[in-house]
Amino acid sequence: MIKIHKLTKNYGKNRGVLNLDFEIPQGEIFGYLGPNGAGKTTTIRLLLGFLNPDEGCCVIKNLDCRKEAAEIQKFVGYLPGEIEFLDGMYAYEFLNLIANMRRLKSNYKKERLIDILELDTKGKIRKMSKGMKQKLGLVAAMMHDPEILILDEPTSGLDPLMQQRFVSLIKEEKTAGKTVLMSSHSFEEIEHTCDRAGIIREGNLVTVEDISVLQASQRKSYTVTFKNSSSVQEFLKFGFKIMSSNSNIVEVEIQDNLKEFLEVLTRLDVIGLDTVKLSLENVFMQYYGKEDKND
Amino acid sequence: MINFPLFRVNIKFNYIIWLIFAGILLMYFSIIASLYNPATINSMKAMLEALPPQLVDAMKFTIPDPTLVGFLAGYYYGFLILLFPLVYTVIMADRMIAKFVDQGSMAFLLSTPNSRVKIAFTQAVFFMSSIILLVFLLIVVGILACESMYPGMLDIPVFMTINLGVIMLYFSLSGIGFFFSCSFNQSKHSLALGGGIPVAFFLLNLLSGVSEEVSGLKYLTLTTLFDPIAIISKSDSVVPAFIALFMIGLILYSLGIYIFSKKDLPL
Repeated sequence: MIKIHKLTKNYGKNRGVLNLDFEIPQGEIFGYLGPNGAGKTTTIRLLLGFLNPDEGCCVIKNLDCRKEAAEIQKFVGYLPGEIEFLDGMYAYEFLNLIANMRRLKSNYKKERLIDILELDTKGKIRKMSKGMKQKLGLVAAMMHDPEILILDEPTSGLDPLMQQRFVSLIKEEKTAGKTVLMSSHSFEEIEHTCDRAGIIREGNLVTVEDISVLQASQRKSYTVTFKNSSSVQEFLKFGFKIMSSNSNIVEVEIQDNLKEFLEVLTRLDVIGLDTVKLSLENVFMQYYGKEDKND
Repeated sequence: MINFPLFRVNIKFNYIIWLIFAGILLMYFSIIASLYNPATINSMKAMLEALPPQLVDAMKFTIPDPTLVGFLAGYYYGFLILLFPLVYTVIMADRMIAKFVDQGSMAFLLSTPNSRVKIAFTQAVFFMSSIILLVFLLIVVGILACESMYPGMLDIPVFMTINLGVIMLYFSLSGIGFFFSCSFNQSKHSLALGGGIPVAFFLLNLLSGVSEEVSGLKYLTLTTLFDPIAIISKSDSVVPAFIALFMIGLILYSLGIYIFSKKDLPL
């Protein structure tokens, strides 16, 4: 459905994308992961035909993304990463404009999305909150029921309830056989929706893997708070992989020895236990089992 | 070839600006026209002679011709028509393309199945038709006002030709603004050049009238190609000047659309 072949757009200083190569088959939900400035948005701009590639090409349904951009838009829905609407419009006016520019016949999907996302279309866009603008962008991107969705950080600004609604919307689209590419800078955001993920860093595609593989390779970190330093000393004797220790708080990395870890904890004076949310950098550093040399 | 929903949104976004400039143009026209009095034209000449000649020349307030159309050509089409519509085109040119790109909302327009050429062409057509409508209104109101104040005294064909010249002039001047609006991704750059160059033309036009020594400056400004006095005297230079203005406009608009269709957009 989407093919990216040797795609290069080099802005220098590690900006842009270098020699990207991957494909997204029909019906797949593809997560595009990377830290800020890694090249996610550049890739998406190339897919939308906003940029001319330095080398290589990208193709959607056998149409060149740059040369046949207008044709491609007939079956693509796009949510920009930084959403800016036209000044001084009401939300419903904006949706009508985009619908009319698309010659959209049916309002069914639009009304349904407005309903699900609880979008207030009567407000002036300028006065809307970031989350409300995000919802408006999502409705604009999805209201023509496109075969392919390209969403740049779709959940940013959404509250947890709306994030959940969004996840079920995407699952619905998947059931309907739609293809989705969504970018994100956090693994948690995509792990519940995506089938596969590509990880990009400094313009290079680091890996493309099934989500299940990425999840399996994930090690977990916990922070344990002990009552006193003698408990800490005792805990350290068991030889777990200690990430850091700061007075009575110890961060431990646990992979397949969770049971043993919990058994040890029951014998000690523990007053707190938290899981550590892993940043994306950690996820793929773990995936490679090597530390980042730059840090 | 054009996208009508986008065209309509342009109307909605810009009609207030348009109405303001239409109001200013018509107001000044009626004031100038009402000052015309064939009997007192000579006393006005005397008054102008009392003023420093450089000032009078700079303002192009010359009366070469005692007819009504000559009076309008001197007072209205020599200066005011170079000023107000110019401000209108400078403001509007940026709003046609660069503003949408700078703001980022162009992303939504281009995520509809409309090519960049079609979007830019729609904007160009809107821009030019708003200018033509402005001049058209001036023609209609101008003829009506003159006929009611001085029945039968306005040379209508010449008056219309002068206004056709205004359209040609503004086709080329707005072409400059549109070209830079298409070329730059930031409004400030589009305004700096798309506004700066037409304003420079206007100032050069003023300066060239100050004295004989600097009259050569008129060869550096497009406004010289619009010469209402030459139109009244049915000079041979009028048709080539109109064609030149039209060609300059056509080239700038086409080039702008071409550049916009090819460039990288930061959307």
